[in-house]
Amino acid sequence: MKILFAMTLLLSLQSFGTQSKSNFSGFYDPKDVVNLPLKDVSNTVFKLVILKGAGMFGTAYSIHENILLTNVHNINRCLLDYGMADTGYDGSKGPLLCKSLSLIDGKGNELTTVELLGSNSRHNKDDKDFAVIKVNGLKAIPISLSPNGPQIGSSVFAIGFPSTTFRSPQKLNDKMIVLINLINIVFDIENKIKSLNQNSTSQDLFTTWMTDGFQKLQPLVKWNEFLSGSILGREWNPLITWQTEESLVYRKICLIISSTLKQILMALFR
Amino acid sequence: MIEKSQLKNSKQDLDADDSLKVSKARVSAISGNAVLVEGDATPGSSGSAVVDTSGNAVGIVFQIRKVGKNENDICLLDALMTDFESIRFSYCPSLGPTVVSSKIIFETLRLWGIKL
Repeated sequence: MKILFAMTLLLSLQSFGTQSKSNFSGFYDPKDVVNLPLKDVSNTVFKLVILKGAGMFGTAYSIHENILLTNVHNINRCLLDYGMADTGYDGSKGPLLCKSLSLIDGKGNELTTVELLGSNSRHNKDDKDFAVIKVNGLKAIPISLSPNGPQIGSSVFAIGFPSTTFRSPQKLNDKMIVLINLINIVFDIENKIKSLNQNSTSQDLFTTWMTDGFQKLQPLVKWNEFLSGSILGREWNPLITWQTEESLVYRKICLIISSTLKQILMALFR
Repeated sequence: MIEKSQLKNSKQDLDADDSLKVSKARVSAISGNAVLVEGDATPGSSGSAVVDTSGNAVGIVFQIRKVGKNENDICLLDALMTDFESIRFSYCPSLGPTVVSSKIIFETLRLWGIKL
């Protein structure tokens, strides 16, 4: 039942990945955007490297010299480091160094020493998901922040770094395909073990099934990491440990796969 | 600050490293501090600048939502996103980013003692 549940979940997620790919595509080609109201966006809008090596990115933009605005979940790792994910930060202790964050400018240069100046709570219910960060020595061209906000019906431009994060639909879809392959193999092994209990199967045939199954699993599972509790290898860790909705799905799936595989192994050696 | 006279023909600056993108969008609804925008966004867009035609920032992208046919219909994605394409959301035809209004940002920065 667990396997069937997990497969259903995975198939629905695969469907999500495929569908969202088409929904998320369609960023306007820059050539279609005329009179863009910024002269040099490469010195204004920055790619925020959320956790080095994790492949997760967000966007931040300059609102005053070396002060940038971004949203809370982009800097959540920094808040977690200071135990402030639930409360946010009001700036009362001065700038806080965000060791896990760095910036890349529009020309590909990496900038470091990101400091948190202020932030709302990660889980605030008031739609105030924004944070202010400071980057020393940054020569950014700021965008003037409107004190009035936008008007309904008005045209606007969103300027940022879409489709570059680990959570991009294509990469999500790729990971889902790996997971589906993995769970199909586990499902196959489990079915064969169940049939083994009901029929008198020869030891040779059983050995062939198991060898075949584990050979298929071999490229997908890193066994030393699996035995230490991480089923999909270290490259998944940033996503699995990240506090996002997607990571909850991955963690649930990994728990199901891990539990089933362990049951199979226990059945084999009892 | 950027002058309006400077704000012309900057398309050569865009997409220089194949990642910075500009999306045309339209403000479709405002609810409290949240501004619903009809446009495109992906998770990497979080934190993107939303600027008006004068070059002023009017908000920041923080979430992706579906927008209903009625402007008051806001279809939040399920927390696990598993019912993204389910019947529950089928009446929400378009996908768009949700933006924090610069108005509340402006006010909050003053509370935090951050001067612009």
